[in-house]
Amino acid sequence: MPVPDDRDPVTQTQELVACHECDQLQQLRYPPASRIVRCCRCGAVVYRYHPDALNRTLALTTASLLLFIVANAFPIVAIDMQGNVLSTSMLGAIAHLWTTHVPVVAIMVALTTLVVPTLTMLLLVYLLTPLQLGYRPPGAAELLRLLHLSRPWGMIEVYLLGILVSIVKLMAYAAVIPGPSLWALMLLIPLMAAMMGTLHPDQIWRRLEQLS
Amino acid sequence: MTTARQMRLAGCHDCGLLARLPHEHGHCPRCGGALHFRKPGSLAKTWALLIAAMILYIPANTLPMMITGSIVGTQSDTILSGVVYLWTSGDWPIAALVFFASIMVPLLKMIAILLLLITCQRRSRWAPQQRTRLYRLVEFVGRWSMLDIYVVTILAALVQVQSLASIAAGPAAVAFAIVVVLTMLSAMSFDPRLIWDPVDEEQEIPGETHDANH
Ligand SMILES: [Zn+2]
Ligand SMILES: [Zn+2]
Repeated sequence: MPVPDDRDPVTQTQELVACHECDQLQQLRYPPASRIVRCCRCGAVVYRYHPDALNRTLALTTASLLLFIVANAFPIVAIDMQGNVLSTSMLGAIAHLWTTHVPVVAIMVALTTLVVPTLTMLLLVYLLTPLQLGYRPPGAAELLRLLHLSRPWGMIEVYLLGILVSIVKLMAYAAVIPGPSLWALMLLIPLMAAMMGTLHPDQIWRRLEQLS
Repeated sequence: MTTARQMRLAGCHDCGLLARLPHEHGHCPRCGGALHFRKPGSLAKTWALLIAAMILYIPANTLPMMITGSIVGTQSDTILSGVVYLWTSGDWPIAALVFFASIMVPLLKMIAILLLLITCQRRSRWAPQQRTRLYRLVEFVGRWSMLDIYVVTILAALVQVQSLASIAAGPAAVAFAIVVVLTMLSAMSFDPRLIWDPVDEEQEIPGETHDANH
């Protein structure tokens, strides 16, 4: 599907927008002239726009998904404590919490570092691939709402910081050997940040509307 | 200045579409999500979640977060004593980081939500722009409180040398995880448009009949 040059002033349309943070009505041009358009009264972001947002998001998501598989398949970190070499993986750490009387925490950690990030990436691949090929994936509206709901609960970047703090704490007692998963996570964080940065649900909704 | 509600329009929470809303509640024509002028029962929900979070913040800080076992014996650390230990052992950047993420962020977040709730309930017109910014900050910063939970997760899974050294998550981890969830839900149920409603009502010409508030 060819991407028309949306920014041509002739194809731009005026539309009425309400700020989601202060309810201010404003007349704006769509597609906007800049990547980010802020509310004239409170400064909330009313538009995020990128002419090639869907393509970029899909590419970044695919790359993130591969790195995330690597991050889960290998140990994060190993320690050598007086000859005892111990290591843990992302799944192993959750399983350990589950078996040691703190299942509530295990569920929280599993949701924020495993379930939500996986769900986000799979949903994006499922939604964006058919959209780029020019047809509407079944259940698109419900899944896009699910994506919107789950978005704040993915916390991979906080997890990486947690791992780094743990490593510093452990260095006083043991030799710390970073695992492949840690390197994968370090690459994954900027990729996921870029993915979330180019993910503009509004543009996905508009594409869906065009196809229905 | 006109707001969407004054024109009987509502922005969808889920997809952002601006739609005509003849009654108080409806459904978004684009995504099918619930449509209303303001989040229903926003202040009551936010209060309930905030109070629950404040209560649990006490055990989260007084009960042990991490239980360390070694040949010398077992030692229980609260979040604060863990920070103090890091500070005295010279890891002061990490101590400051953990102190900020685990103690300051949840506390400041709860105070900020409290401030937003009280000013909105009193229909204050004070500094709406700054209060909206405060709300945005609260939404952004909340997730970083999970830091200490993740640190305990990694340490507990890793340090398991029989009789030599072991680390386990304490009961505070459960309380703390729930505090993070509750404060996040509390911030999400707050409707920032409530900050601006008293400002917009003042600007309407007094005595003029309008049905924007029904
Ligand atoms: Zn605004
Ligand atoms: Zn909608």
